Amino acid sequence: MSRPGIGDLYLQHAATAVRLAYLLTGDRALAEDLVQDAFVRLAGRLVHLRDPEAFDTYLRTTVVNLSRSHFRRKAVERGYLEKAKGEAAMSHSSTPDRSIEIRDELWHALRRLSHRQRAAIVLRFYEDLPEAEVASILECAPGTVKSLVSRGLDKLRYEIGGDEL
Amino acid sequence: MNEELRALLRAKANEVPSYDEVPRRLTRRVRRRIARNAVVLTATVAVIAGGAFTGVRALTTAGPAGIGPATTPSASPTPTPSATHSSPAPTSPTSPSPAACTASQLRAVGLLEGAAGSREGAIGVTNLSDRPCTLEGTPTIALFDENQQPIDSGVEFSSSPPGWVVDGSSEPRGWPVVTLAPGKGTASVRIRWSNWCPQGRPTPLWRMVLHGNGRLDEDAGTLDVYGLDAAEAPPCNGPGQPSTIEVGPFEPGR
Repeated sequence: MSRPGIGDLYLQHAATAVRLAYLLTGDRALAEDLVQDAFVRLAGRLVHLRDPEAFDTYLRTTVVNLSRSHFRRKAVERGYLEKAKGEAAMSHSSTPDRSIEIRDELWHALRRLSHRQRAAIVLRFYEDLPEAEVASILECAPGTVKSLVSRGLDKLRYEIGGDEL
Repeated sequence: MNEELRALLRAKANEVPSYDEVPRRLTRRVRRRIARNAVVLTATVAVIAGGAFTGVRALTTAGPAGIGPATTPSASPTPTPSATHSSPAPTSPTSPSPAACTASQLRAVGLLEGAAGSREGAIGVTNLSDRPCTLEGTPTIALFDENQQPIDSGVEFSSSPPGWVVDGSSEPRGWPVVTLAPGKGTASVRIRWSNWCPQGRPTPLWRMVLHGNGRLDEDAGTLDVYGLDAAEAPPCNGPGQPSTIEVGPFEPGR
């Protein structure tokens, strides 16, 4: 049986990857760009992948790395955070329902975390990955993942007010 | 908190729809990437040989003495068991074999790709001369910074098994001697590179020191390795720890 082509793999995995990238970046368009970059990068290595069945694992790691590189290389995180703060302020003033308001605040607070904290939280709470696997993706020790998640959650609680959640 | 967070992440993720077609732009980019990978170790050599990298070529004028063992990027001033990047080949070819390749006959291009926490790939060496030659043993790798100064600390070299061992392939015929046919014959050297700190440090220039058939033969000379200075350096996994580079022996082009 022949290996799937990159088109087949895209149709099969793109939505999952864009969802992850969106949670990591908070920007749909950027998420789609990063995922395309990831597919281009992996396409050149398809024949070298030791286990093609694990394509989703390769893709997830590549998406996390590319989103990290994006923030690092483009040096946009500061401006991006300012934008997120502005949006948070706008949503705060225009949302009457407190539960929706808290969710919006949580989303914007998530975007204000460092990339590593955000990635650790998304991979643990959305992807439901064990700490060891998150550590492998983030290229750090499992204890560091625990610390990233803990500090990230502390920061989220602080940002949205500890008594709300 | 945790459940609210999970619910939020699921809700946000569900804003992204499924995809039922492959973007044309992606298809074009994938074709280009695959084509680029296919030619990078062969045709690119000839293009680069035209002299596109004159800046790097300036390094060559420094001569082998500028990058001998005293200035190779080993963190230790004395050889250590792990610093086997200059280990000689175990045997010499018999007399009918072609002569050992010299740097003037060769061009080297490196290609590294991301692996989990490191970069893996190979340096491809092509014989552009009109006579066959042989390579054997493990070359010495030397790194230079953006000012073309040797990087002589913070990097540790060790030996890597050849790529055919890593891949579980059978031993190539004639190995450890690799004979490069004139004009197109290629050899490769497996590279695995990890932990480049601090982050943001420019990717170094790479040079390869040849050893004539297992002997340190100054006539064999040194070779600029093109392409790796433009590669993405590995992530900084261990701040304060040296960068590590595993170098394999010459093997037939892969």
